[in-house]
Amino acid sequence: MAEKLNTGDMFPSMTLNLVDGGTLDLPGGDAKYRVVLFYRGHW
Amino acid sequence: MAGFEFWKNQHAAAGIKVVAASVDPIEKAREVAAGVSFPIGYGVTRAMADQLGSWWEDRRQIVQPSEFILGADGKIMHSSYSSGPLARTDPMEVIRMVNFYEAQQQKTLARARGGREWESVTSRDPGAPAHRASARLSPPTREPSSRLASLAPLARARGGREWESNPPGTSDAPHRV
Repeated sequence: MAEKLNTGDMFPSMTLNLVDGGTLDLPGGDAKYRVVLFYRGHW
Repeated sequence: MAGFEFWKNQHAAAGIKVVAASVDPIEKAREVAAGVSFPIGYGVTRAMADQLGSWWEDRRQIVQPSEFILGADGKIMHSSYSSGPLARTDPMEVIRMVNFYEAQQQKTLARARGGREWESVTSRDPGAPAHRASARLSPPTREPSSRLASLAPLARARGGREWESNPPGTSDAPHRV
């Protein structure tokens, strides 16, 4: 497990595949504020 | 997730965009997406979880809850990690945090403009109806002038000497009774 991200750190660059067929590049700059939630999902 | 959907209008008004993602395959993620209006991602990998520093459960191969609030610059304003299903970020707390952040920014901007908050304080005091009413109903106190004394150095720094000769409250007749 990598180090946890702290306040002030740059969010790591990654691309999310979205269910609508598109993708979302994070951190991206299209929002004044962005909430990113990683959840456990179905299991 | 339902909470973020519930507060979506307030989030939008505050300039907050939400995205959620998990290790789920697309067909399972679609079930989640059906209940919310914000984008849902699928197929989060162990490598991505490691980038985030998330807890990872080997047995079920799932990323444990990891939640972030980012600013427009992509920097993290807040991070939250759980090792299990408890303790999710409260959507209302996100709004409170953003509002607090915005208020702090306004203060910083006001200071950068040269202490304009001082002008709003001084101009508010003499005309405040509550202040005048209480001055007429109760004995005069030294509170206005003592407060003025404590603020006088700031007034001098601004070159506002007119303030010293005619401070609010003391020019009001009831104060001289």
